[in-house]
Amino acid sequence: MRSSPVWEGLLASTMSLTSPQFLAFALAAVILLRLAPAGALRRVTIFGLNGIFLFSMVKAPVQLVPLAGFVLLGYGAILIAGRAKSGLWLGILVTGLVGIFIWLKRYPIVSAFPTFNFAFTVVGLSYILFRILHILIDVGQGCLRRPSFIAYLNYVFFFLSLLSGPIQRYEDFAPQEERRPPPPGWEEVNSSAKRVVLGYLMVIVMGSATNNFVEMAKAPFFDALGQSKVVFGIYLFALLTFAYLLNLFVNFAGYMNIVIGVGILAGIVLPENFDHPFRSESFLDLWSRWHITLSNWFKSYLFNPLLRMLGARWGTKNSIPYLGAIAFYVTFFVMALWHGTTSIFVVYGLFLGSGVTVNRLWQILMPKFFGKSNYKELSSRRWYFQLSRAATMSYLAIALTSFWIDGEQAAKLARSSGPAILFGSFLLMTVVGAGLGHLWEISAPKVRDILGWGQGGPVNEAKTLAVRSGTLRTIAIPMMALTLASAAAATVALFASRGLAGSSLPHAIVTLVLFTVTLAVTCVAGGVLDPPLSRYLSSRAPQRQADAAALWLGVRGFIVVSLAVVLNSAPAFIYQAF
Amino acid sequence: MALARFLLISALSMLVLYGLSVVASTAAYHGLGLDHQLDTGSRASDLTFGALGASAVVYNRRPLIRNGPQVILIGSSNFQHYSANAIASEMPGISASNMAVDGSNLEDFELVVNLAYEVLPALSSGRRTFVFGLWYGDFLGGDGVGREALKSELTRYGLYRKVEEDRAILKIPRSTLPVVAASLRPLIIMQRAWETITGVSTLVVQDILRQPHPPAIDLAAQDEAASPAEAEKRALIERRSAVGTRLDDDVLAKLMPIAKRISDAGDRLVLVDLPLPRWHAEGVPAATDYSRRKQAYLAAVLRMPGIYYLDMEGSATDEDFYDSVHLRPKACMGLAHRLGRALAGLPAPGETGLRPLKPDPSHS
Amino acid sequence: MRSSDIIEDLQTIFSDVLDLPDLRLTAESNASNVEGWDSLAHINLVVAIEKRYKIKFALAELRSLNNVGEMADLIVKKTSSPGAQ
Repeated sequence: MRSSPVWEGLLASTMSLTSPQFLAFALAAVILLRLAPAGALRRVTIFGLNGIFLFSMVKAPVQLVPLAGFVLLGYGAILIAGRAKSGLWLGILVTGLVGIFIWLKRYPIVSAFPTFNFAFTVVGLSYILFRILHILIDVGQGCLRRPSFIAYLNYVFFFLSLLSGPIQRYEDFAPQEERRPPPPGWEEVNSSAKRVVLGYLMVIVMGSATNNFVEMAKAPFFDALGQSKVVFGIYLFALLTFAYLLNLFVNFAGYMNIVIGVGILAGIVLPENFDHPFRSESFLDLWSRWHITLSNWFKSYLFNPLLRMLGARWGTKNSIPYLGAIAFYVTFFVMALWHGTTSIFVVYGLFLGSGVTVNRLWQILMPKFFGKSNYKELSSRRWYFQLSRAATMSYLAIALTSFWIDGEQAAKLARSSGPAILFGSFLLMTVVGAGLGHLWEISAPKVRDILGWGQGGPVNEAKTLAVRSGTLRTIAIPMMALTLASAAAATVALFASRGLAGSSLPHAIVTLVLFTVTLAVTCVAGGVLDPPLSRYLSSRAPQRQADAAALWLGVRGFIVVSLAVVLNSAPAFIYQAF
Repeated sequence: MALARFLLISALSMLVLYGLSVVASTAAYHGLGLDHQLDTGSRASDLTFGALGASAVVYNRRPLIRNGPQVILIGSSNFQHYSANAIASEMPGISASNMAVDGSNLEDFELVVNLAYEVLPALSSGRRTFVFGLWYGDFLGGDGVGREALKSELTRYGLYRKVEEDRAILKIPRSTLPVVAASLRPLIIMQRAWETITGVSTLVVQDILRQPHPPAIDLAAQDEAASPAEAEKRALIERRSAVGTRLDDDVLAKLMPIAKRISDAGDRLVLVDLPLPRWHAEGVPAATDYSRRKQAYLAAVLRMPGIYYLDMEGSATDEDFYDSVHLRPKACMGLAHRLGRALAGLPAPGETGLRPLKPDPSHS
Repeated sequence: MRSSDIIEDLQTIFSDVLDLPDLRLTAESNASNVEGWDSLAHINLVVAIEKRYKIKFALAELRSLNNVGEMADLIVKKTSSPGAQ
């Protein structure tokens, strides 16, 4: 049977973020979701969009069969749980589903049990599991009315959150699936379009830059490790792990920006997954800022019931905090295992579990030793915050090694000078991070002032900010400051690294200018000049504000779309199953 | 409605910006003379299309569209800097283009020939002379840098659907190709800028990681740089020998169909043996294999009308090379002029000839 | 049982679990304006409440217990209607 090119194109396209197929699909989705009226038509529209997106992930429809089977089983479980309304049944069903999940994802424990002998896809399965379990448990406990089969499918396979979340609760999704959103104003379209633009910039530019750095740094590091060069190894490992942390962040948060931005454009609000994670005060605080929907899910469905059970059995005023520490360890250990199927993720689990437990114990024991008020005073000091934050991010960076290291490299890391290097990098990153954080803290107000950002807080509200007189102050100075800063950064980088060695003078000048322009333009596309522009415009007539905003969006969109087309050969990497 | 107006202005501003960038880049191309000449080795082409030359070969074929007689040079990196201007200066009334792509072999030459034929107007049939700059490296198998670059450039903006071994399948109507290529200019310039940035950034990162990196050799330095020392020579020979000791028979066999294609079209093909430093030509097994088998495979090809052979193997001394294959700019320019004079001495189109040409002995 | 009665009960539980003898609870008290009511103390409160009223909260209900008023309403519902697990 000759398949038509449309079907072929549909099936084979991997929906790379920068592909014209994805952009066309996103645009069509936004328009359709805005227009589809409440009721059956809207349901069918979402069903169709989900289907197209899902089919674009596979080369042949048969690859989706196991995934579809899992989702069907899930609905069956929900039906049973809704009827049975018993804790025992619920426990069995949950265990069963999780077991099938482990089997489908081919975790090593079940490698003895064979799976299907054709290639099948488990795209999005990790997140689908959460959605199904959430409905299953809530229906089983009587808190949620069982959704209809179509509504269930639409929720489980919703294309925006299929690949990497965010994990939205059914109660928040359902009304949006049923009802048509109110027509948006231009401000809403503007801010969500800007968000999408920022997301693309993060994924395409910063993502590929950090990814290249990570790839280039691996070989030298393992060389140094092999030669037991401890100090050099510490230096390289710190760079490597921090670059990977940045890489993961810009890819993940960037993709979230795109997904959430497109969602808002389409009239569907998705929950946030990131909240300035680099401002985390402690490792526990980090998890309310990084992959928020994941930790919320685990808190609701693993931590809370676990601690409640422990507390009911062995809970006394004194023991409860320690029981909490145990519950944290178990919860984060399981959460780490969900991230990947290879044995290195057990190590990740140990890291996460130990991190939260140590953090919790610190929070328990410090007040005991130093007194509650002394501890409170200590933890409000700025240097304490800087050290704590730097230690948190460094610990995370080192823990994330599990994501990019393979078994052989891990074995090398565990031997000889590996542990010394691990510990040394942690110390180095903590100290340097705290120092840089402190520097940023003292210079931030001045930098914000020069760049016209004001002293924090949203800018395009009707707050009467003291708009500096004239165009010069509000726009020209930030622009010049940005250009000068870019030029300075480019000069330092190029001269310090002898990157221009062997070049003739005109060639060197062209390269410097190129770097400066690229840095400045990237910052502009990322929104650095937005606050001063908004402040300048806020004193103008509303219609001109709208026009100027449209124009500016066009400028930023042009930059990012061109970049996307130019960098097409380096396809954007979407994290799956994280 | 405020929203519609907003969306309209956004979309329009993107289009207007793109239009402005097309105008600006067209002006830049005109200023650099890229409208009139396709020369992958020229500074202008390096600057805007990149040093590999694949991008220029795909997007700057407009200069090929002319009815008068023209010479088209095809080869790999050691033929790139045979300046088209120098060749044309020796042949009054005849224009020249250089379509050499770095890292290409004979199979890639076929692809480039077909790319040329794609745009050459039918009226100029019989008036084109293809010149292949050959060395043994063109007869080794495998997909080199050139093939990868050509493939990526051809499919990058969706102009071509697929790249087969010898041709690329065009998706848009042929007549629109020059216009489409012109409207892609801003993107091509951005791509070039991006490549420069990543290239230099790589050096910066290597420094941060304390990795040694050789400094880039600018064109200006190529004239002055010392020839490879003995140790370097040995290392270079080792590297070259590792690729393979024999020429690839499949690749060798390609010469016949290419020659036939050109001969049947009424055009001419000049096969030129390019010089190599003596220590290279004698030290690498594949090079000696080439010298041995040359006469045999050339004999069959030269029987076809319009196919000529020019031996320039002895035209340069070892000092003229700054590495194992590439000539210094000054020497290269000299050879380009000699080549031009030799080409000028070709019999007029239509005349068949088995005659191998000798290099002009009156110049050193 | 009425909501207001429950709030008085809760006050006892809260001040005991959170170690705040001078605590005064109102229906609007929530996690942000009662000192020490973090996610860990939250579970302690839940355990104590469940013991006291012999009810079991569903996991989804635990999420919405950030406001004393809502808590009280939920307890009323669970103690008066059958089918509470």
